[in-house]
Amino acid sequence: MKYLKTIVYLLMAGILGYSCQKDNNSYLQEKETITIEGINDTYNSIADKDILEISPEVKSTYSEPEFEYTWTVYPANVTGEIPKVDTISNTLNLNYKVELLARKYNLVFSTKNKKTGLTAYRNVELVVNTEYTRGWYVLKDDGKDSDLDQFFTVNSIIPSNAKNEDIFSRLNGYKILGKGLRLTFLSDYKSTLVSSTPSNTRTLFVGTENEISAIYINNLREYRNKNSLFFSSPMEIKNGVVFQGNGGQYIINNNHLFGISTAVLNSGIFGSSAMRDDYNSPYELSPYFLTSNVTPTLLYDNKSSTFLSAAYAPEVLSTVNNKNGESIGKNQYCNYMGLQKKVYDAKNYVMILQGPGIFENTLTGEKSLIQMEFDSDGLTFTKSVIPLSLMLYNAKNYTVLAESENLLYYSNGGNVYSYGLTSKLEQLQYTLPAGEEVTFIRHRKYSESGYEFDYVMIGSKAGNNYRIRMFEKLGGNLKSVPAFSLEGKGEAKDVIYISPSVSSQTFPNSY
Amino acid sequence: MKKLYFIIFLISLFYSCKKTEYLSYSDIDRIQFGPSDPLLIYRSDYETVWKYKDTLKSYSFYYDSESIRQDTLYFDIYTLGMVANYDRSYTLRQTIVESDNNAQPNIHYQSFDDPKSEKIYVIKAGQVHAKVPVILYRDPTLKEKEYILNIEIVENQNFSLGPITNVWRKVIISDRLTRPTAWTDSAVKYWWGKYSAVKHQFMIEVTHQKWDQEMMSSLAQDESSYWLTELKKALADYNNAHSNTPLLDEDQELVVFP
Repeated sequence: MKYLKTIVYLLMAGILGYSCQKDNNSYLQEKETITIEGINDTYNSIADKDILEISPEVKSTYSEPEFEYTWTVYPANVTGEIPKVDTISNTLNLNYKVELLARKYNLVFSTKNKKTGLTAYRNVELVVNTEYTRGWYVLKDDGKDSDLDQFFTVNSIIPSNAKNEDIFSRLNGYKILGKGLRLTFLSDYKSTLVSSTPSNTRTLFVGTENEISAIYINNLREYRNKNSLFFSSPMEIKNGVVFQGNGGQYIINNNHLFGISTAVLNSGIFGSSAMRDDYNSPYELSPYFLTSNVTPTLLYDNKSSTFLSAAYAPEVLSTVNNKNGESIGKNQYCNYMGLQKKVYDAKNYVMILQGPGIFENTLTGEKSLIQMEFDSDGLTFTKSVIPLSLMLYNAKNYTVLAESENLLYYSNGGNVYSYGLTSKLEQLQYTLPAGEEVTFIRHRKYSESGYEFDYVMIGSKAGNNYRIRMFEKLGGNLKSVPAFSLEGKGEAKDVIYISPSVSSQTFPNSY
Repeated sequence: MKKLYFIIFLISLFYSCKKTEYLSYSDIDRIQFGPSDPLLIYRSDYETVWKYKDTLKSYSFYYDSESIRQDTLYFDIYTLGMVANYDRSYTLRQTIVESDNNAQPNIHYQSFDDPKSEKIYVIKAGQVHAKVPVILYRDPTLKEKEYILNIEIVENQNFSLGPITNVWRKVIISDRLTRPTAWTDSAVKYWWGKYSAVKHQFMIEVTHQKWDQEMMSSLAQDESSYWLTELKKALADYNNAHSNTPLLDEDQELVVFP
């Protein structure tokens, strides 16, 4: 027994001794910090061409760190799909041939000190482009069918000398049926082109008199047209116009509205045309409209001389309440409507759309300028008869300066005029050289750093060639000479600037 | 004595480290109906929603040509317990419900105890799942009214039963328009409105679609929206053309879409 006690005491002494072993840990050691340097905030690469080389510098306050590294990449701003994270390297220095679809990505560099387990990372933007994802696109036609010209912009909004002429037909093997009307870019239009379930597909829509072509901007391939854009395809197209509105994406075709509600899961296929009312009364929508992403779209029925509205791709269009009881009058045909600006009414928590319209009495020929204010509660407008003495009376190619000076631009013959919507003054802005004819006027603004612009774009034709003059403004008036011009073969009908930063909301969806 | 305690303590330490035995299934083999997609049972709403999706199926010969005299409807059945290396038969029988217009064996369906049925109600060797064929006959009486076939599994020499909620299925057989099970209460509220045979027939005629279970259960939201607008237009056009006699259903109520 005594012997046993001795053993137990020895064991206890040993345990105590062990527990009193000198503690070499330094609990007062400073918290470790890992710093990562040498990585930019943004990288731009051309797919299948560029090699992305990044050499970061990693430091730790820990005396002898042992780092491991990981570079991953995953799509940014994803909706409708689960982003797939790809590990592209496990070395400090990245040397990666960019083989990704053109879109924005998050590029993540992470490093871990294996000795302490502490991890640090940097998450930066990687913009993957193709040669088609940046540049000016001109919609043109040969009097019968349409095509696209692309003008490259390398380091500024001023195009370089290089251009892709007839790029649509060269890539797709055919032209787009019909004379050109309008270009629209939607960044959140849905398709299964890049994923198994419908997801955002950056799409350039070309609307013509006889076709609507949905073109994937990464490779400029047409992937939908009148044979596949609608549930009831093939659809006969007559003056196809695509635009984004409140809660929906829309096509006005053959004077009827076709929509996709973006409030529900959708496949990017357009539904049935909306009914005019519960009795399915006939209607003939004007191709002009006021729209924004927060206010119902204001439409006009030329058949009944009635304003209508649409939100979330409705089955039945809504008749617009004229708040002050005014009437536009009978037999009023809409020659133009355009969105001038959006104004937030903080008192009533509503966004108001403002814009002018040009209406013509089909019986008397009288023309009126309507200045509209439209919100979800209804419409108010002032109407003034356009005197015969103004060039505005017989004008064409109207465009209002969007979110800019209070001016309406238009052409009359070879002259381009402006009309002050407040001042009521008409002013000659530019005279085309003899032999040239205006084919369109468009105002677009853009704010990407290094590529910003605010141009009044005047398209003209002379013989079989087009010229698009890009005018900067000074107090709303055109500068004497354009900043630059785009020139090519055919008759230009519209021009748009595309870059990875352009989204559905970048340019006004209205005219 | 203390030494003894110390030795017992040491032995107990070793004993407590004994390897745990594996859990194993020791119950008898059982059988029950289940969903066509077995992964559905992992959904959190399986017990409240998905479990009952397959319990009732409607079949109508209405869409078939007159030459079609029989067709087969399928349910899914699953075993619980050990996998066997031989074929195992299972047994079904019709449950007669007094309040129902019960289907008649070998008139409206191939009876489960018919000699021809013997070999088809079998779980194959090595399998835990089988499709359960229910062979339906096109009897002239189906044109006049619907017949209901209530099915239940019964114990046999191979299988005991799963939970009581999993051992029954129901088939509605007809040769006329019937409300597809996809025309749910939710579909009534948000898409197609109150069911009526007149409305159903109208939908088929104006859209040239079947509007049967297969078609309706496959509709995506945007596609349903497309068809709803098409139907509203067609109904408005019909009523415009028949202003004094708008479309009424079999209960003399105005046909409307929500």
